[in-house]
Amino acid sequence: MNFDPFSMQKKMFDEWEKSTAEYVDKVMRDPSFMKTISQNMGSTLDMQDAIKEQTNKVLKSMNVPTEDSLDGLYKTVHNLETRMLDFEEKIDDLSDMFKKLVEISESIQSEAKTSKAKPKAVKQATKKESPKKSK
Amino acid sequence: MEDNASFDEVKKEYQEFYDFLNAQEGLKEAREEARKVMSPSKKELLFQEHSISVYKYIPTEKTLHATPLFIVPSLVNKSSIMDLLKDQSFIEAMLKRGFLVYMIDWGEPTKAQRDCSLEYYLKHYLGRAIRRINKDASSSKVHLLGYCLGGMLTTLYCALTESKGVDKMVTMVTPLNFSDGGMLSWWANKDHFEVERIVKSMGNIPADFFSASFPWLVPTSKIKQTKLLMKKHTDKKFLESFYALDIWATENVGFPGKVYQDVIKYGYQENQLVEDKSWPFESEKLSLDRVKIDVLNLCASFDHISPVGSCEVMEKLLDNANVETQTFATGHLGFATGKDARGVSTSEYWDKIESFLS
Repeated sequence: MNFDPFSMQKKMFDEWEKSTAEYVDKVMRDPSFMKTISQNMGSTLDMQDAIKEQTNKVLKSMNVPTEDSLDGLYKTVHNLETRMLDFEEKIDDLSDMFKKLVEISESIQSEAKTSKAKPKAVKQATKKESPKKSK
Repeated sequence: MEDNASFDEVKKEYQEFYDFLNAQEGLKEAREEARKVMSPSKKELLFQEHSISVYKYIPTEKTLHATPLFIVPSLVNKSSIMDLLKDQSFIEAMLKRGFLVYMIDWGEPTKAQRDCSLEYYLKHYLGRAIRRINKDASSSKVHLLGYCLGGMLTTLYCALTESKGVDKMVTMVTPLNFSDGGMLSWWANKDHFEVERIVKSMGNIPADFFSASFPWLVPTSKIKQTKLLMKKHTDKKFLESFYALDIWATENVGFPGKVYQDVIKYGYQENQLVEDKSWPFESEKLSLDRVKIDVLNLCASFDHISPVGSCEVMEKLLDNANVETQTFATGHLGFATGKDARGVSTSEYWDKIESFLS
């Protein structure tokens, strides 16, 4: 059997890759590991909240708008944009309705014109026919 | 002899590695070049509201289908995956098949959107988008197409509104069963993931939160990617695809806080869709029985983000819908880029969608 150090090295790398993936998967599925991660995350968030609170206090004391005070402004702009789009849709709907109304009134007018024109045509036809009758 | 052959092979590998190290500057440029050619289909903005934009894609062929196709991508990634590159674009393929294509881009949520619930997102944003699209296309109904979590959104929209303004629905790699044993479900487990606490502190969940955690789903994926890049770093076509996908996968968008809380709590932690076949919206709890349309559910057997089992369950959940499930040998991105599990291009999935919607 020939000893091949190069293919051995490749095999070792593949094995390392596989076992690393399995190990990381196993660690991440361990409840105690996830609990530690969760606790760390909780502490980081607590710290962030505390810093934010202190910063807000300092900014307020200096009469500088804070992130929280700007929130109201963001929401107002948000609502205004929504209302504007709602109006835009309503105006679009109204303009569609208006177009339909114009179409309807135009068709009524043209019908009325044709119905006015009809009796004349009938009269003319009867005039033409009447001499025949006298014969 | 054998030793010599192996020696040559290793020598070649070391040479490749050496060349790869020297090519780093060029690879940075290749990444930026890929960014420039991403999203090749021409589009125009239909409307914008807060972080949300709805785009209309300029038809490239004669319109053959009167009902427009409305694409709803996932909330966590950019919508560019649906129009990745020329010849690897779902949108381009649908335009070529004569569809009128529209897509919603969720964008980076604003501060004011952190308190918007999932119900608001569906009723307000999707509702308005569907109305606007129908008006623009002079149609009365759209075909909805949901990708990944976007499929869950379209399903819930249909349950919420009894499919108002919707003709048919296509879902791609859409997870509905969140107790699937996958890593994402485990991370979101309520024993160690206090979602309310996180949302309260963070507001909207930042994109970094996702880009830092997603690589751990397949911990050795970075090593595999680097090995592949080392082998093919001189192939321009490969680099374009590689970096376009890398840009999409690593540049996430933030998740609106309240929506994230709703999805994690009722989806991942309580698995309401499977346990109760319903969803507790803010206003009322609504059953999935209200979905009464034809649905094509596309699942991928090599998907590690939305495991096939969590997607195939749709047929059992939508009792009143006519669900056709099709599972293909591809990965999570296969339906969007038209590539099977071996990376070979195929139009099979897109042909299936066209025949279903026609």
